[in-house]
Amino acid sequence: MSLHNLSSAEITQGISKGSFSASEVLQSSLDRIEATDKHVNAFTAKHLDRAMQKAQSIDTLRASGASLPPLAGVPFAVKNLFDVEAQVTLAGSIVNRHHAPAKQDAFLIQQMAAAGAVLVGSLNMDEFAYGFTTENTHYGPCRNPHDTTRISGGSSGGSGTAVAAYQVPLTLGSDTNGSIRVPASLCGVWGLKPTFGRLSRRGTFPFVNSIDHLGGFANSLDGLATMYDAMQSPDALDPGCHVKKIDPVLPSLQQGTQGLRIGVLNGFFEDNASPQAREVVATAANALGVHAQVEWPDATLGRIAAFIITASEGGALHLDNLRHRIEEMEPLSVDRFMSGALQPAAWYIKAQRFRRIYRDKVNALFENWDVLLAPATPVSAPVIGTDWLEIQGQTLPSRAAMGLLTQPISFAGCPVVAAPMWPSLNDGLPLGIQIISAPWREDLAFRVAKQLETLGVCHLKKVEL
Amino acid sequence: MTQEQALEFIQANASALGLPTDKVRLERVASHFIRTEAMAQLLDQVEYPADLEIAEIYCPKQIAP
Repeated sequence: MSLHNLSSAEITQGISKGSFSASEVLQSSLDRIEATDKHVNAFTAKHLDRAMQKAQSIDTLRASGASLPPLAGVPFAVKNLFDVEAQVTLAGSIVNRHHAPAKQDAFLIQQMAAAGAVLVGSLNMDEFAYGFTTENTHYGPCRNPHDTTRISGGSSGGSGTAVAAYQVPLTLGSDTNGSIRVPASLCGVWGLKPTFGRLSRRGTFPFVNSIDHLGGFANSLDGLATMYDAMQSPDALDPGCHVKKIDPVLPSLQQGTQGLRIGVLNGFFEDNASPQAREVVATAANALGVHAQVEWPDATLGRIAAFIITASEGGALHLDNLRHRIEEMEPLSVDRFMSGALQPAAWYIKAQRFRRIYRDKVNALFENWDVLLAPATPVSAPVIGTDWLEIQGQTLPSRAAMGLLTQPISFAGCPVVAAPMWPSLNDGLPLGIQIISAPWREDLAFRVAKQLETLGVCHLKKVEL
Repeated sequence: MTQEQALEFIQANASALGLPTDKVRLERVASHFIRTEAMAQLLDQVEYPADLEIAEIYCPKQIAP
């Protein structure tokens, strides 16, 4: 029986009913990875022993008649900046190979395991998360399952690809400036970047402390919601985790969009979008009966401030690597790291002061709106190795431009569900939208996403590999 | 900022921080630095009240009684 293309809900229901076992689900996932990963290069490690033990423990639990946890037997994989017990946390680098193995799993892996999910492996990414393409020189580029000559997006490229290729139904990633939303868009899968401070980052290799978020990818919206609810928890040991309680989204997922004030972002988000990117937003807006156009405040400045903070904190974090191991670093990002390390403190401090002004302006916007729609990427996946893009008459550096439309949103800390969509004239390539809500209101973004899924507007597609 | 000014700044600061200072690399870094400097100028045009603090992440830890 082929089980690799099931959603997490179909997996847990099937195991619960006895239609198949968790061990069979795991084997199907491993077979799929074996058959397809040579084409897409999503996995950098497989954790077979622990996966088999976990699957067997779920089967034993089921045999005992006990009730099963919400993700019982669901295979998942993580971007390789997540600590996995007894494994070295690479964060896409070769520099980190010399580090000691992790003593315990990252906090979110522990949460997933407690919910019954089965960790099968670790995934490719841009080195130290500084990129939007996962053209990793050390481990090879991660390839887009819909066209393997094209990028998967990044920096969580392996996480987007593994879901799109139906290797696993759920993956975890990180998003500082768009690193979940970009690969979700380019690979045509569901993605979630929660509110900044919602999910604990403990046990992951950092990039930019003051902007880093963790989140996930899924082949179904219900799976994304279940995973998100399972991962939520206060964590006093992550100074960036601000929650005191859990706000589950599953109870309100089916509530529909009636009464919600929904708008479409114009200005910056139109000016930097290809015709295909504008088409998918228009399609979603039409399906929802939405006509209002909304201007996001200071999008250009928000992006600039995020860029400066990213470069500065990232450069400072890797100062020792730049001093002593610069030849081992990723050629595509090492000069940006060094430039960031040399930025004057005044630039960084001004950007952090601007962030307060920006937060207040964005929060004021959400006094009038509940959910806003925008493209997730300016274009669909470029061919691997593309240096420059033409967008609305502008020639832009391809690798930075992929995050143009995500960066202003995450800088304000707003939660975003990235929804998979398929422009009509795009050679079968996906291009997703961002469903954006006010900080701490993930539930509203999920409700709109559910409506779009129900209407058949947002969905995954099968891939030929 | 000209390429020459950027190179001079980068050379001095790279030396101060103990970073590599080979010319070919510094020229590549300078091109990134100049782009960022142009962005930083745009942020300079915003009015910042004197009492506007940086966005927070630090939070003092409460000592258990």
